[in-house]
Amino acid sequence: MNNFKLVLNLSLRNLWRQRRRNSILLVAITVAIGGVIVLNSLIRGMQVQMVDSVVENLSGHIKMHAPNYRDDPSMERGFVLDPRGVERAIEGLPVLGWAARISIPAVIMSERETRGATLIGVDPDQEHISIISRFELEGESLKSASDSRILVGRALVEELRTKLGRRIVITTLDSNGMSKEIGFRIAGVYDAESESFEKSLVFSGRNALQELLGSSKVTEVSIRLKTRYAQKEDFEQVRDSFLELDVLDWQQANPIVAFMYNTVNLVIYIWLGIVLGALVFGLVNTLITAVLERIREFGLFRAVGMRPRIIIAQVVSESVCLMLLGIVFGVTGSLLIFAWLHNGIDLSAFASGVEMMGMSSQMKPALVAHDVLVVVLVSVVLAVVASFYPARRAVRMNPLDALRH
Amino acid sequence: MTDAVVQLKDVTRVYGQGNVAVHALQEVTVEIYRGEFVCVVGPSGCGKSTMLHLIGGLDSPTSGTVTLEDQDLSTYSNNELSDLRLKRMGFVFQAFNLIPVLSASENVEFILQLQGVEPKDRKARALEVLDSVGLADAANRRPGELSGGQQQRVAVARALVGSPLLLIADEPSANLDSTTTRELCELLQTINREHRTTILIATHDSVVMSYSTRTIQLEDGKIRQADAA
Repeated sequence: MNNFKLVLNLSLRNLWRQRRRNSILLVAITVAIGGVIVLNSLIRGMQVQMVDSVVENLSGHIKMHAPNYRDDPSMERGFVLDPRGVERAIEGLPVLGWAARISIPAVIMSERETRGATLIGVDPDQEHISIISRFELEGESLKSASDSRILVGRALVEELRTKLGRRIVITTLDSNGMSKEIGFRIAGVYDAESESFEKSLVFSGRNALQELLGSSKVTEVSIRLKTRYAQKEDFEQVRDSFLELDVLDWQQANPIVAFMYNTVNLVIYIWLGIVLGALVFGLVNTLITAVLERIREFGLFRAVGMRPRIIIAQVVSESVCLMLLGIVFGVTGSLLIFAWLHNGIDLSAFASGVEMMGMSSQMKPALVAHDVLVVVLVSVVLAVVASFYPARRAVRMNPLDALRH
Repeated sequence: MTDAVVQLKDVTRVYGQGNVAVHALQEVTVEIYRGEFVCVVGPSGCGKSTMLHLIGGLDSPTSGTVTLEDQDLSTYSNNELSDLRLKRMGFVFQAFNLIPVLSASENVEFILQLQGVEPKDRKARALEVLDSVGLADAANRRPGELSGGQQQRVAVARALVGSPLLLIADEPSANLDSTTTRELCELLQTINREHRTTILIATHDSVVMSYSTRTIQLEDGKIRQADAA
């Protein structure tokens, strides 16, 4: 304890003795740590938005299809919904809701244009779990699952050169694989954050669609949890209840987004490694200078009987004290910036680019405690590692040579 | 067991090898007894500092043995030598070598802190020793605020505070004027007489020599003349 106090006392006073040089290093540490945390929170925000967007845009946390549906989406590869079975499967889980849908490819024709899209039959009462319930609409929403009108995205309406209230014809395959043409009146034109979403998805009542296609099947059930991420055991509970169906979590259902999500995790740690790695060189350089300046002092320590490990502890503690100060300033600064950016950064100037990533044009940072903890712990470990080389130089020096320096 | 605190037997110290080998000490045999005030004298490069460093365990002989209280220093590990210097020896250097970030009393207290003495005791002891070297008023001043003589007194206080068996001083008066040198020597003489602390000083200053009880004269690494103990 005596030695600890001695080491700490000497370290703090030596840091103060070279306050100008150490202040510059402290600013570098603060900027690096604060910068890493702020950038991580922006990247995490992007990641969270990506997941939220995918989960909300019809995927849900857990999705069920008939086997082979994903290879060839059609009514032929639908399944008969067992609502009680779904309720049993989600019993005890933190479920926000579930929705059974029909999702099949279709060709949409207006008087002037023809486009390919996905026709989705929904029950509006179940769609509080998805973006459908939050569409900004011109016109009316679907009233019920039996509503045989259609909702079309603004971008698609423009491409089809049609408008609200007009009729469009949709060609798709029924449950027997036979081509079927169905006429729909446009009940509403919706605006989504993503233009590609508006162009590719049209919505009608599920029961009405079943009737028109002559089938009682659905093609998917989507389950949305109250939590942001599904726990493995929650997913397994549902999967084990529907062994005859393909049960997928959001990552399996959206492999491209999952790849981007996992890449972001990697990017965060690579970025952390680069910034803190660069910081280590600055730290080592400053500590070597500090050791060389105090060669005689270290020689004296050895001459009067200070054990080498106490000298090492002194150099290490100087590095750690400086790093801890940098961490306090850096984390505080990053929290202030986070609070300032809490409402998000407007990326509407890059709207088409961010839409491709399934993100909103408003980028909101997300502060993850685990990320901050990793930055803090890695910084402290690096401070210790960085100080070992200068510390070894301090103790390896012959005390007589050091005293003569 | 002899009464000698320090014994050097056939000690040779050679630096470098072959044509560039320097024989700093050659087959030196000498004994220093408890309570002696010994000056090692001789021209620059005669081996005074080398002899003191070997006795202080800061260097090891090429051949021969150095013993402290009948214990061969070559049998000690580095950590044991560190403990020996900390608890049984005090060092005073030509360049004072005070720690600039510590006050005079902290510079003295620092040795007691390394020895594991309790804070209350070490503060009192540091002030007592500073008082004995006439620097009680300067206890809170940093080395940069003290004169050369005052700094050397702090260095002496630091060397004495652990109640060492042996005080080793390497050219302690080199950076001091004659008046300050006399004051320092009187202080060392008082310590030697009152506490029977064995004092070993390397010097070529005749003022310092005049305070010693015995001188050992070195020339080219060999003892040219040694007074009887």
